[in-house]
Amino acid sequence: MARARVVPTWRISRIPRFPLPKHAPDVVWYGLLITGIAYVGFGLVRSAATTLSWEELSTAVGNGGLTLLRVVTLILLASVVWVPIGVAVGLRPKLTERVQPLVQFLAAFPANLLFPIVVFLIVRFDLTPKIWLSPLMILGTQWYILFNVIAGASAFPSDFREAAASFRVRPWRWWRQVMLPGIFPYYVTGAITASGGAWNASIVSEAVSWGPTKLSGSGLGAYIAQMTEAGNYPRIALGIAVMSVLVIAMNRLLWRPLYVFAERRTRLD
Amino acid sequence: MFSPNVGHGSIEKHAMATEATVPIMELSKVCMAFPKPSGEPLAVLSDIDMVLRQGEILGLLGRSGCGKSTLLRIAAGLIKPASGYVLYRGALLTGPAQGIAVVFQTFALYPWLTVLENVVLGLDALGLSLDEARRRAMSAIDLIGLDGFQSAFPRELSGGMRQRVGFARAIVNDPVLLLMDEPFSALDVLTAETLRTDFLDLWINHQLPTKAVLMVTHNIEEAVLMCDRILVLGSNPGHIAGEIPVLLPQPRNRLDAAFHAIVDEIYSVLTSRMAASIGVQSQIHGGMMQQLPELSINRISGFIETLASPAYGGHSELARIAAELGLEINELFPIAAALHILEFADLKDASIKLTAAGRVFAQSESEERKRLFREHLLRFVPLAAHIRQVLEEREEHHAPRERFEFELQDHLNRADAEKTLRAAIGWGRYAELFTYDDRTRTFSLDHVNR
Repeated sequence: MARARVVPTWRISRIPRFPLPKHAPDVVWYGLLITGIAYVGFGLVRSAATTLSWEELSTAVGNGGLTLLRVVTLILLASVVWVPIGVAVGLRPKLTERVQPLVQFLAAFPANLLFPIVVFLIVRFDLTPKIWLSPLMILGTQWYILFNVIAGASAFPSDFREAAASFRVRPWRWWRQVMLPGIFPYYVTGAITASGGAWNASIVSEAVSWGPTKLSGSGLGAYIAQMTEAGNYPRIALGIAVMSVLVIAMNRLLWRPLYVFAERRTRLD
Repeated sequence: MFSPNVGHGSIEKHAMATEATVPIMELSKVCMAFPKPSGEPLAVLSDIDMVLRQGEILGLLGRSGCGKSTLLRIAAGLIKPASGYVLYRGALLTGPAQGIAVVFQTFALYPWLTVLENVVLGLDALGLSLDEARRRAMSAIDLIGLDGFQSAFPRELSGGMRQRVGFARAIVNDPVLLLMDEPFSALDVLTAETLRTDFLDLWINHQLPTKAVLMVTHNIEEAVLMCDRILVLGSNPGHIAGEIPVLLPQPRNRLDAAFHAIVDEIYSVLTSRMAASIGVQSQIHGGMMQQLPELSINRISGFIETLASPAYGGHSELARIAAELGLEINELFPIAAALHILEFADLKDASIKLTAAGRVFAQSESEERKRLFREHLLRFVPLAAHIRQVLEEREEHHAPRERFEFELQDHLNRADAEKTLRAAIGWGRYAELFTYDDRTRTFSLDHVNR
């Protein structure tokens, strides 16, 4: 049974205390890291100061806001769809056995192969790219939510299920107080992975071309993609910096606290 | 609704006249089977007839694997029987029903809910107002001795307090029938005793709305202490091997001669069943049906030595040695079964007695013990002899584990086959009858006495 959760790769470790000698290698490493970042940052700021204006920064941040909105909306939508389905599958061991490999395949499938179809549909039906390009971001990463929710539901203790069944807990309370808290840590793990993946995918999905047709939905991903195409290094750097700040902020302010909360709540000892 | 054999029109009158005499629950010809890996059904319960009357605590007693927990889940409506039917107060039970509540061995408390929220969950089906639900939950919490803990989370409570929450959640809904699945077995001895006494106090003083209790246990003394009637279950497939009424008045005293007599009677039902089934198993299907308890040589030797010591002089009542060594039947019976299978001891009428070979074993040094054990293993454990024979017949003296797994699975379920093979491997290694390499999963005669 697939019980193991996919562990988020970007958990930030604690900064070591300096005076301790056993942390000497860490001190050297962090020293190098800080020097490197300072050097690159300084260089960037100096060149940016001459080539980039404040308006440029606000353009990038504004695009970042748009992509952030998309990521949040899409994670919510994907959760509404996949959490109930994942629970329904995970509680049926035989179905889980059949569905899990399929989900793994879907997660591995290169979603960008489907982009031309979407471009064709948007052009054919004259749809707004700003809205209709968005779903592409989550196409490949939504499966992590489903995958983890299935794992969570199949690891849900049978005594908990039997207790709820024997007390005939009604559906609304069953979801709210029995099932959702039970799969919550698994869900958070899946959502962290999915949202991280969606940020990455925004670079290839917010600006899409197929043959001569070029569509752009704006957003930070489109910004970075367009600047890359134009070979505009200062703006590529600015775009990536804004994206890094947003991703880290989302991890620290949303996902990490949720993760800690989930772990603490479902622990019995 | 289902009303067996009652003509229309007389239903109401019938119901009124028999309010007191209709059993709380009635199981009739209940069978249960789970699919084997091959897809064929493997019976776990066969032809269970059982009546639960108003005012009694009925105990289901048996070793692990006899299907007693499955039976309790059928009574709870959590599992549908493969055949047969269950009547709850005269009506067919088709699923979890109002008036039936379960106390779980593992407590089954939701760690993310407080004590109060866990208890309120037991009331959800009634659809009460928030205030009313809280009021009833608080009074159950008070009754069960949890006042002050209502806002605690289960992780903050000891095992005993957690099971009290389990009880509060079960009784909050005023159940007519309380089903308890080894409710005290996950607790330490003292805590279990306290909870048992507290529960019996509530029961005897009619402070519970409950009209009948069905309790699953593998603890003989617990059953005799609490129950008005005990059904002893035999295994493979689970069946009722005997019924023992306990007519002693409450509160009961473990030191009473009458108490002791009932404990002995239960041991004797269990041992005669076991001795008989060991005899049958070793004779049919070339002995491949024989289940071996997974037990280390140290435990076997230790038990033989203890039994041979002057304190016992080679024989003991099972109840006595179980009490003195602090063994529950789940621990005692595998040892007794191993000694009986290997003919180092005889099980008869609730007592165990070393055979001549057992006495020799107890007095021997390690090489002699090994030789004796090897001899008995070859003679009395057909599986071990079979493995040895296959290895001898093969030219390169190797055989894959699967070969024997498949043979065993023709007669035993997967888990039992696995356990039996593991036991045979342990014993065979000690006796140097064969060796086994777990990396390649093969048996061989390398480095053993030919």
